[in-house]
Amino acid sequence: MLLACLFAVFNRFSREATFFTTIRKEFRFMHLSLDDIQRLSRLARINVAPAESPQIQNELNAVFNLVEQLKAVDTNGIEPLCHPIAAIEEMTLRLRLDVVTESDQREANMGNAPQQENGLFFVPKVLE
Amino acid sequence: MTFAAASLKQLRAALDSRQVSAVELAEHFLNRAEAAHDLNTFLHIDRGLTLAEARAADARIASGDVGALTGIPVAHKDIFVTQGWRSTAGSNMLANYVSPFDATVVEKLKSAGMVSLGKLNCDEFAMGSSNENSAFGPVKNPWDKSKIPGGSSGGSAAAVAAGLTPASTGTDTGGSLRQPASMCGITAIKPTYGTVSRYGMIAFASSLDQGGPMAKSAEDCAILLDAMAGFDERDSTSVDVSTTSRKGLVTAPNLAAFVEQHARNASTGGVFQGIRIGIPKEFFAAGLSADVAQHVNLAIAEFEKQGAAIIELSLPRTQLSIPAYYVIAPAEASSNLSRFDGVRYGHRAVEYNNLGDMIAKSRSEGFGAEVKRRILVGAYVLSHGYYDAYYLQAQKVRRLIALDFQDAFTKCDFIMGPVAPTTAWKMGEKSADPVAMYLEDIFTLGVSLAGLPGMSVPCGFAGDMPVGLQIIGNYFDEGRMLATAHQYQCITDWHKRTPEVSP
Repeated sequence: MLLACLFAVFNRFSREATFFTTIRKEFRFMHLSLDDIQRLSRLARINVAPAESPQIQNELNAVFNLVEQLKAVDTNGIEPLCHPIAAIEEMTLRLRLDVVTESDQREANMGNAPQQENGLFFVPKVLE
Repeated sequence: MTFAAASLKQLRAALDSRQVSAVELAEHFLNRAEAAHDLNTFLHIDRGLTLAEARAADARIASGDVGALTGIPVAHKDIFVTQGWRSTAGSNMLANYVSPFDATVVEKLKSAGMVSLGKLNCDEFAMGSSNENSAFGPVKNPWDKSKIPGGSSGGSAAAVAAGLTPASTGTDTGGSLRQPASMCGITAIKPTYGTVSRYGMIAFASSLDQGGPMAKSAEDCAILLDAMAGFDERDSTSVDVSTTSRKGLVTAPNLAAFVEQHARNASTGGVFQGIRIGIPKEFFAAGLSADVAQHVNLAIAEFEKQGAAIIELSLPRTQLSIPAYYVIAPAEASSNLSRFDGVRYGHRAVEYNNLGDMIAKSRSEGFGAEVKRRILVGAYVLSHGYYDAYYLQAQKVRRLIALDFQDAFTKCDFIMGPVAPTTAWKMGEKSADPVAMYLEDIFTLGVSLAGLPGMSVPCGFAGDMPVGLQIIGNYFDEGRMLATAHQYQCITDWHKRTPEVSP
């Protein structure tokens, strides 16, 4: 009993004293390798030059060290929350009727095209 | 009274009594905005467009077709798309983008007769807490130009604080209305998720993004939110409150009337009699700077003195809101920002070898460092083999966080605490360490994840820098929140302090 109380006190103390520091604790492990960075770069269509790869790797690993603590949370039986109002009641996402609601805005919509030809978006050859 | 310091009701009276015309008012604020260009608040001003709207407002006033906002100027965060003015989202990706349509919020305020002064600077795609992530340079805090204005709605907050516009629009994904309002000493409300339409708000994290007003007082915010809010079928997550279990609460468009009526009926024996205010101990733990704590505590003491009951409680998962948010928001961002491919709109690289190369180069050149970082994080947490461990787990933790708030609201009417752990910091101070900046969002992220309404109300100054009190309400309880904040502003004058700006 005493032990339990002491433990609770210690827990509380350590939680508050380390409010910010726990999340920055230096239990750093290399979460993402340089190969992972290249894979993500391809997935996201964001070029990462080999020279900047190590810096991006460090920055992303800092983020993943921060989010690592999520794994320790017991979420057994908890449904994911997608629409916040679903926290208090059933929410179903609305679907609109499958009918045309927009008028023809072709010219306005083409107005921002970086390159166009004959009223079509112009892109490099897709098929060789 | 100067127009720059006037409330919306005072501007209404000045317009209705023909003391000033909408054109004169628009010119007054445009002149101020141009004179204070060193603050870098505005990204696009177009006198011709503004004056045309002002002339239309004057015609409406002359014909007696007048609402609360007809002829009053407003400026929009550059996340809302606008016909005429460029819509850049603070990004080189959209540097020259002109929208073929108006966002619902823009359209609603325009039809209420508001006159748009232009577009306001913000962090790129609303990602940031300091406005330093704008591709068009940081906004300066009008209280101290060497400091950040907060973010991401930094331009919106600084412009109101400096009296360059009577009101502005902003958006909040993890605190982007409340935190800059706090750091610039103005009032802002992030309404319940689903209240203000996201249609035409350039998407960052769709399950969190929520628009709201920024102004000098709660009374002004109520008038603005009345015009901005409302169910919109063009936003798939828009909520019609009358179909929820929270129906019967005072919501838009009746907020301003309720705030006024509530003030009239306030009991003389303590204006906050009967109100229970929850104080989460996690909001006052280590990490909160002593000067912010002092002013927030003084504000809470003022509520108590005026009859409110103060209830200590716990939001045990406050700290988890940071990792949950920094999984969910980047995941949704990586999905939303996949639309930028250099094909249909936005930046396109000049040289490329093939279609894939064109897309990757266009995105790499168009996006800034923080946006790329979040896209890469998002791509990882959504990728095969990691989705369950990160994204799904974060969404489950999100529900636990929302349930903690519901538990708290069984014991109190509002939750109060600081908006941010510190006042505005020096420019450049935290930009080298992105994760250090993420930690600053600790008190605002939980509210965003839970989709609850939250306000920032000026409550003091630490040195020369403003401090904001955060008021958090239960779902769709904006009416009572605004009425309570207005009562607080009737007995305090923190919201009336203005920085000295050159013009």
